[in-house]
Amino acid sequence: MATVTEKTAIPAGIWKSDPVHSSVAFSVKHMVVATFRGAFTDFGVTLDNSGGEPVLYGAVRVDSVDARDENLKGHLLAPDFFDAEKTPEIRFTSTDIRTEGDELVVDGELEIKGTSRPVVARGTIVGPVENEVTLHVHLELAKDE
Amino acid sequence: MRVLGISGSLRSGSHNTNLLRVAAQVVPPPHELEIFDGLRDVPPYDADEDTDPAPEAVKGLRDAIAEADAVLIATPEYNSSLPGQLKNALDWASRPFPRNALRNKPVAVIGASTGMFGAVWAQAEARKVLGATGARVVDVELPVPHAEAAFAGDRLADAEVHENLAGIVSELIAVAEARPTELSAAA
Repeated sequence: MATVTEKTAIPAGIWKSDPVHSSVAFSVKHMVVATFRGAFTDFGVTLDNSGGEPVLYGAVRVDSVDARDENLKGHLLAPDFFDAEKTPEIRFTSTDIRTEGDELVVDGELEIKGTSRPVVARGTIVGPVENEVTLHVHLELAKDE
Repeated sequence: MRVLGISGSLRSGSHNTNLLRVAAQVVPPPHELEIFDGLRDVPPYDADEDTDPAPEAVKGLRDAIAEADAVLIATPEYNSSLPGQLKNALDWASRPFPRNALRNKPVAVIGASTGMFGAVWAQAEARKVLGATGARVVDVELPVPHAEAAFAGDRLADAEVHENLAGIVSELIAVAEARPTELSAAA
């Protein structure tokens, strides 16, 4: 993560995720007290503010899930869960990007297993600093979504 | 497409094996359905015996599933669930997880019973087990009740149930055909 020096509005240009400094991670609370954490290692994210309304979009390869357990990964990729064979990617496309105070708010459509749901991601955007922009957003999903 | 039929009943005059014979009649050409005949020989699951190479009967089961494009299971109902020998075979077939013969394999479950509910609970339990194995379970069911009077030659006596069976077989084949070619070949 870059050192925070200033906070800007959405910087102009087309910004693509840098695989060295970027990550897509998730955590799931279960059994009240336990939290499972995992990540997707193969993904791409683009912030396009080259003209018109800025758009944030990206996708992760489902089969790149790092669950640290082969059996659990097998379950996650099976037809009963992500169905990696039929829907190999999870996708996100923003519909609106705005700032609320110090917070970046991104409305968008999250597509998992071929089904899209409107979601709201919140976070921060910093830069550009030395030709890099640091974008950090997170979103929460209900289990029944 | 090659469909493998597995009857959960070992009995020589099994209604569920008969149901698979009817299914074989309604498979639209050039597709075909072959009934697996090795269920009786599959030993009780024992992790000590779950070795490479696998026991001969287990290898026969796994190979038959792997070489098929889809699987159609016909199950009777024992105590509101699927028969032990069928569950045992699915347990063997699910190993080694997750890269087992059933993974992403299109599977549908049908069933006949002499009772009035047509093994509907056994079918639901079989779908649950198959989902856990990583199979691509087709969300259908075919309860054939009063099985002793359900057959008329090589057809089901009830024309609507007969057509439902034909529809399930066609849907199973369509799901198999929709799979990515390279993954079907690798499965």
